[in-house]
Amino acid sequence: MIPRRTAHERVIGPGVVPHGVDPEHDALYRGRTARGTVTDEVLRGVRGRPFTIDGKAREKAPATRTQTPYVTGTSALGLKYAGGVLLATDTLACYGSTKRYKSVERVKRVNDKCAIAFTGELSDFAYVCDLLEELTTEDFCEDDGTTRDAEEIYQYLTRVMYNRRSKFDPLWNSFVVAGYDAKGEAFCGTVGMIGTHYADDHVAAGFGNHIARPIFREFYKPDLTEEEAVEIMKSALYACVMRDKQMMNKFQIAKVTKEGVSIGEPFAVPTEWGYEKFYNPTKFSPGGW
Amino acid sequence: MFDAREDALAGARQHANWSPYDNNGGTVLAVAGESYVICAGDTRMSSGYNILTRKFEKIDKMSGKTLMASAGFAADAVTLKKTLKARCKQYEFQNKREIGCVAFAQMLSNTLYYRRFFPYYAFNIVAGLDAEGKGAVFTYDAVGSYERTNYSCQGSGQALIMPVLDNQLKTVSPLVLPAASSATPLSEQEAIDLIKDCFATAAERDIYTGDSVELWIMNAEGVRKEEMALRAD
Amino acid sequence: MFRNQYDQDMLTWSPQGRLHQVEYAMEAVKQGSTVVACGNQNCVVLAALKRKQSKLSSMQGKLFGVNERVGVAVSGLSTDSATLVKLLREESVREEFVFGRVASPSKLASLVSKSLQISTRESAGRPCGVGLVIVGSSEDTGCQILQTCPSGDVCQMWCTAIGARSQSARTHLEKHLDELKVATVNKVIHIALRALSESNVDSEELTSEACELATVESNLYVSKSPEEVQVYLDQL
Repeated sequence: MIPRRTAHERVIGPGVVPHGVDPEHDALYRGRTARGTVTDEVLRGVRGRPFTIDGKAREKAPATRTQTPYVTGTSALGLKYAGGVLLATDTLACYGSTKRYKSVERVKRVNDKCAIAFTGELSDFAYVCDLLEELTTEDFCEDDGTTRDAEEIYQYLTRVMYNRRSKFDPLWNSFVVAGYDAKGEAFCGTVGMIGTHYADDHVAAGFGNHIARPIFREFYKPDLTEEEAVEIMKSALYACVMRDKQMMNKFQIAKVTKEGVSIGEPFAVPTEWGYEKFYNPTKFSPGGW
Repeated sequence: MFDAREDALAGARQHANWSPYDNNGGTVLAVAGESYVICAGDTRMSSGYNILTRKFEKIDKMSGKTLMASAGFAADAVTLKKTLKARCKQYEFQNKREIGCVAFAQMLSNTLYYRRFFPYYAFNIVAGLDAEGKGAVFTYDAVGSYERTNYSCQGSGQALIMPVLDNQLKTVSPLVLPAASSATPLSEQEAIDLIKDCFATAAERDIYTGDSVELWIMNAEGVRKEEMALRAD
Repeated sequence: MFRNQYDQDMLTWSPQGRLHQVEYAMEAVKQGSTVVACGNQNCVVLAALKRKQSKLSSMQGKLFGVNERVGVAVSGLSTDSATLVKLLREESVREEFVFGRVASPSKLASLVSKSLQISTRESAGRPCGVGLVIVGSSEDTGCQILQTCPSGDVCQMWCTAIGARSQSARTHLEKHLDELKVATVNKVIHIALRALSESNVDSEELTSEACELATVESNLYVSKSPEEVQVYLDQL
């Protein structure tokens, strides 16, 4: 039997090695041909041989599939109001530009004091959920009457994200963290992919930073009631779904109050696409075509 | 345009669209007097043309007599401060006293240089009172070069503010004999007013400086804070 | 010297189901000088008697701050306690780095407990001959007193006393238990110092030199200076 060579060059990829690439093998092959000696001329371009990829060669190269996002969620929004904090996302996870998964809950309840929403890679978020689950379990086992509050979760996530960016292997996510801090005050913060973090009265991760933040800035006041806050949130979601192609008209609003976390049922906002400018977008823009 | 094949040949391109750094802007400043030191910073945090938040504090108390202010990449700055705070605590446990500002200044330099080849992208100023109670300002680059001065400014508004400080505060050269005090001749209140002017001016022209300026004033009595609103646009 | 044939190492059980080495370590705690802790939800007080090796030496400290709201008092082998205090402080610094919050007394106590327990299970080594009283507070639980012993046991206490002659201090604390539950910090200090003096060597007055005092109140651990201790002693 002809020993089958394996390719050590990962860029060749799986497939067929043409004649001429591996002289050693070619020589062996020629020597064993049943019909006797075959000239190089005959072999060239006609006979190739399949090969397998050497596992060892693969190990040497770092896996790259974790380093670009594949299935992603877009904006996540957070808004404080007088009695708590709201979180809002749509329920879409895109595969590139494909609306791939349309009923994904992009909010996670961490514990009674904290919930988070994410943007970016779905599977990285699943990993982060595992980490948080571990924390919660630890907390439960400790059984000392204390619970990690939202600010601690926020700090922890910051460390996780920053450490991973420092390893040049980032988690492709941004988070909005909502809940209560140790003093029992409402907390709303965001953690970015490279560890950038800040807490504010309202935050937006992802594209919503351009679209929802201005709306929040205009309408936010510290004594918002829950109804008012939900209205503001809905108008922000409306603005997002009209302008962000990765956004879908199916949203979830979660709230964190003193009573705990409740994640609302999905809903849609009424949209209006009949504007004249949508039919004829460049009509009034000089130079447009 | 990037060529997938070329990229694959060069060893797969790993990070399609991300950088481990960002510049979140901001300006920090410190002025040392004979018996006081003032550390100031604006509270804007930006990323590109976005304002992320208007209330991001850049100044932190690191030990009893030491303040530290950093501009640049916020995540690095925060991590750096956290690391240093942890080491200050360890210093305290080992030496049964708080770290002084001169020792802290050296420690910051060492910590920055340790990351010479993957630097903390943070521009720092350390302000404190030295063993004699005199104001001290230490100014750094991102990889740990530092110098003790009597005033300094770092961050996005540096180019706008530093000339003003030079004009207003430049004192006798340390080379002149007999040695003269290098501390600024201004009184505490005069220095506060100067700093507020500087920030108001920088906020006019620098889009990364604004919202408000916080001043931490440290003297023998302790630390107090002042705040002044700046342009929010 | 042999008490029995089952006490030569920690891996051998006695037929009665006891680990003599661990029990001996518990005895070491009783050799240490007295530590008293008492208080309520709002404040706790830690008081300890210090000793010196000889008349020529200085007093050995027994109270250690762990972070801004947790402190610990030790009784027993002082060098063993140094390792544990270091462990507590390092964990506290780590916790603050990761979570931006100082570690709660209960988390720290369970950490020490794990470390102590491991040393009772391994042939290379011995149990730590030290008892710890950890005091501190957290937002969720209020002030807490936690006591550890060489076996790794952790108990949350209303009040406690460990070390030499601590029984008399405990008796005193038991008498004042109801009073303690509603006492102000000054009152608690008063009771703690009284309890401590019960455990002092006969006919000797408590001195500020031989006595250490710390309080936890409104989420702050404060170690009192000898001058402040003297003021409290004068009020007794």
